[in-house]
Amino acid sequence: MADKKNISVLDERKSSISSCQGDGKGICCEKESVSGAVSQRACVYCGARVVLNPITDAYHIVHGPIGCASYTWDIRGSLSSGSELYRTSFSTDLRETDIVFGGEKKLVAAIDELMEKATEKPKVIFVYATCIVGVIGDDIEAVCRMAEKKYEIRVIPVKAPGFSGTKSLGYKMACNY
Amino acid sequence: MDDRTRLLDKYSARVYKNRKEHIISLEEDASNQSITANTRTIPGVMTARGCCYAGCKGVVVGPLKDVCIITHGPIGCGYYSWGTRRNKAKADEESGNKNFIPYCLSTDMQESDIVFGGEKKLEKAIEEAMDIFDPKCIMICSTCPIGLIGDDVQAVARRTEAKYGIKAIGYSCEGYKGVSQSSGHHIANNGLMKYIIGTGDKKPTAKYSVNILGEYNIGGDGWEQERILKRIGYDVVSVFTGDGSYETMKNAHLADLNLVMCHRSINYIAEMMQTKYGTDWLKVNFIGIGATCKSLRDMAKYFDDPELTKRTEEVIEDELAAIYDDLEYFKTKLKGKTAGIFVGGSRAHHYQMLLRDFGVETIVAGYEFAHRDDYEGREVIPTIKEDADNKNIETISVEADAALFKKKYSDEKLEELKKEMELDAYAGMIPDMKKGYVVVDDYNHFETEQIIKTMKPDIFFSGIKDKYAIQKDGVTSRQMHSYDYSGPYAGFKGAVQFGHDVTMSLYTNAWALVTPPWKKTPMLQGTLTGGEK
Amino acid sequence: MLDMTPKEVKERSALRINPCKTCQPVGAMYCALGVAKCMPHSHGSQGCCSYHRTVLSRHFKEPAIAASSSFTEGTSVFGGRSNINTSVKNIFDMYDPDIIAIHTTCLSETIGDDLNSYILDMDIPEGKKVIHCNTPSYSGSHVNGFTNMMLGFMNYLAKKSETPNGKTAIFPGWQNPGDERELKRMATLMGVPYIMFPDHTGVMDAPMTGSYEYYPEGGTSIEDIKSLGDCDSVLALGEITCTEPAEYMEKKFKVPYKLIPMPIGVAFTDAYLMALQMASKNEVPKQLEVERGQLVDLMLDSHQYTYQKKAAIFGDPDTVIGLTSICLEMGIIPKYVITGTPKEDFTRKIKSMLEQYNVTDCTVKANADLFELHQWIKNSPIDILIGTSYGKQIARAEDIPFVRAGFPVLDRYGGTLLPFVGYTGGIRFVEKVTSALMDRQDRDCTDEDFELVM
Repeated sequence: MADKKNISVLDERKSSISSCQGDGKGICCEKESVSGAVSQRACVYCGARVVLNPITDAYHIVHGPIGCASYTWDIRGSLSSGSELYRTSFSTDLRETDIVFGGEKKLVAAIDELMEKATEKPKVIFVYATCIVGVIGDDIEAVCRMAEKKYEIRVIPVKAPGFSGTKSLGYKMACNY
Repeated sequence: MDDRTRLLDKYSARVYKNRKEHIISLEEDASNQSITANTRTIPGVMTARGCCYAGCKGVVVGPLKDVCIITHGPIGCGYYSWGTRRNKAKADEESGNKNFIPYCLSTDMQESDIVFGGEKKLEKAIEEAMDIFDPKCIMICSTCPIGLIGDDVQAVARRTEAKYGIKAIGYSCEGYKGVSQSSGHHIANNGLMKYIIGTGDKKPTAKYSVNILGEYNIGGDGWEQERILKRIGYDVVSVFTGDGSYETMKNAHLADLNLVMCHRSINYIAEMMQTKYGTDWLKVNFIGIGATCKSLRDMAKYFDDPELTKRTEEVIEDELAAIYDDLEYFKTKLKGKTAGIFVGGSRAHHYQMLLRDFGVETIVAGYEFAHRDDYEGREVIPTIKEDADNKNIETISVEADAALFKKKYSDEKLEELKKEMELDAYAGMIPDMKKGYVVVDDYNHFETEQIIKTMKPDIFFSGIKDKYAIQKDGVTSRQMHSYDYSGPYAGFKGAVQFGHDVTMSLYTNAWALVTPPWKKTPMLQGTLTGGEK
Repeated sequence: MLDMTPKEVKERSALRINPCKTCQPVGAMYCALGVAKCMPHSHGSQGCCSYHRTVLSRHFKEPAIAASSSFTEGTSVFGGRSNINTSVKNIFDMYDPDIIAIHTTCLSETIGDDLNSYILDMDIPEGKKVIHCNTPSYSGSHVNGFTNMMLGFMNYLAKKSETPNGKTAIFPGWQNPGDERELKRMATLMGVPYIMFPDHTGVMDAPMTGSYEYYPEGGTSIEDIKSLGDCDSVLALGEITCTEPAEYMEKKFKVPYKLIPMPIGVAFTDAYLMALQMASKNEVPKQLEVERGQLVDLMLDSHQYTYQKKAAIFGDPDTVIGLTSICLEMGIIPKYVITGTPKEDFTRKIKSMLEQYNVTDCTVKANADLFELHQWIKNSPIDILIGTSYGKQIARAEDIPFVRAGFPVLDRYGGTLLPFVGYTGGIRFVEKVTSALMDRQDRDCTDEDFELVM
């Protein structure tokens, strides 16, 4: 409605806002968000998580502190005609010592526990790496490989630390698995 | 100053003169002590009593589930007695799968009905009730203005019977009759005796059959009693009137024995059935573990059958074993506490037995609407002086029914039995209380306050009108009319429930929060001067 | 539950089934409990008094004191003069109130007891008062009893002196103390000096102190009632309950009145604030504007759960008018709106509100009962039932979400401490209704439709 010239806009944002009449330059997109601009975007992890979430008969283990699992727990409203597994939240709930000494062991233990105790035997497990996992350098690919071997099911690492790009990168990553 | 004197201390000479007769402090041998009861309440004292209508409709006939009870009068009386007493009922085959308990039917009289008479409206209301509900029995309960304007509810009932071929009873139970609910009980008893009992012919199936009289199934008490009796093998023909029905009451005369729970509200029927059908009645009390066992054993003794006695003992043993642990636990929480109990006409006595099972002594008790015999025992009845208020309540006389009168035992055998149990008799509340305990008849709000302040019972059992005042005084109070929406309290399982509820109310955590910390801690802080180094 | 209720509706002219009203005296008793150090007194059989105290205690979970003349058969023949004289003496002796407020019953009305002359001849201790009003149980409803007791107090006590008191008389109508407290808070925030009459705050929501008082601190003082005639204006809430007392003030003392609906919901609370503003000429403080904004915000946030949901609303006329208004604001269709009180003004007012919101196909009835309401629901169902505890049987029988509001609520705790009036009360109401509807959606949906986020 209002011309962009009349709206106060951060300089860095100007190229991303276009009026419908257009100025021929096109709109600037696929860029990282401007700090402090209160973007609507979420993170890479979130992108990957929401794309994979509707795979209803998978176990989705979020490897990281509890928050990332909590905020994506059964929130998307995507419906299932079969399995309800995807609506349960699994997390390695990393604590300070895990961050200091590495979280791989805990992830292995989490997968083992699922395999042993889950009433619905897992056919596929997605393991999401969140920010801090990227920082401390847990090798989730290796963990997943070992698990695949041990249990003969698909265990898919989703290396989506939040800081590694934008949410759309997360979508892309998810699709690549 | 003893407790009684303290209770009466603040009264003006005028009120004192009246109330001193209603309050007694028990002596070592109380057998010569007498109390005044069932007399007018002095206006203005804030009595706990209700009225005749409340006794007739609210207490005795209200629980009959297959009866359409029409309150004839302005809307209030029907409204207040609608769904407020916890007389539980369940539709069943015997009630024709009907249950009118959740309904309030009233003629909702308006000014013009008062001026021009309400009989026409009543008859129209009955027509509408027949059309909508098609009941087998209709009862009309009159409220205050009805008697004054001269509506003839008995005549309407007769016309209803003729017109629809159903049973109809008109009760002139106007609120002002008598001095309390008690008059209403009597009026209700008369109607049931006159028009219903003896009109059925369905014979009981078990070897031994009973009616339970004066059990209103508050919180499911009646069901717990029936459960135990049926376990032993008794057939319960009818219950007056909790979860009761017109259909079962018709056959009441075919039972072998009448068990009387609340004698105050139902003893008239017990006595009249004895005269008319020869049915003996046994005062029982299923409130309290010891009391329940005794009642069951008395019954077995009455029927005098080794098989029945054996079965009775088996059931008692089994029931006691099932509650033993719970009972012992609640005893540890309650032993040594003191109580005050003020309820209608029997419970203030019955519950003393149950409390005693838990080691709780009732130091002060009384009835709202009892007669002297409820305090002192049935043998004092001939010595009770009639006054104008009592005389107005009709006493009906019955005669032995030539076809149906049947005595189970010879007079000699009955005399033998009477030595062992309360057969055709009851001893009343006072013999079960100890020296120094106080008995108060027709207690009022003022006296309740005095009792709380001077006698300081740990827990006070009465009704909703007192409950919150007592609690505001920092004393636990539980409603004994409605069981505070809990129950059952009767029988074995009920005793455990009662123990649980009393423990809960005494120990609930919030009691510790009543006084704020700043009332317990001195505000000023300081150090002693002069002593420092 | 309520298995004997047939679907087919039949005209009834004599039989009242499951009433939506009770008789006058309980209203008079409740009104009198809102006066400081007052002992209500029921002139009739003691059962009336017992019933009324019981229902009040069950609703408020508080002691409700009141005495009775304890009529006997003899009294009913010879009249209640001696009983009331004894009663008044005993009450002053035993309970020491400042004032005794007597109401009649169907019994004393039918025998024609003349309380006016009884009181004139009475021996009343120095400094004490005895007043009365007539509350024949066979006309009107408990709501009229409340009104009549207000008039009784005013008749006996209210005066006009030479000096105006600079105050606004606020007649809250039949409210819980939680509502009265909220109304007073708003008046204070608007800078309006007021006399609220009656006022149950402190009395019917008395705190636990460990020491019971017959007369907890609270209630309109006798002095305040006396000075009603000196008020600048009257702000009367509830067009059914308060019309007569408001008109009385104008006729007797030339005090002008403003009569508005019970302030439930945005529009009616706005009206209350505007009326207060007229009195104080103060601007509406930020705080109240924020509360209003919060209420509207909440309505908008939750509208999708309330939009065009069908409700049945029942209870006392002024309460129901207010509840209907807030329901309309929430986009709810008030499919059935009834009161048991026989008052045609009620239907007129509800119908004009429905017109204002362009809502059609609703049934509105005064002098109705819950039996017919239930039958209507059986024939054309609703999504939510709003009213007193007596609706719980219908709610169970028909499996309808149920929100308790009005008098009496016998089966829940704490409700009388909190308001439904004002913006904060509106927030409470919207929260209750929305939650009830959403709980139902949660209960009824399939597992796969069960939403974490709503």
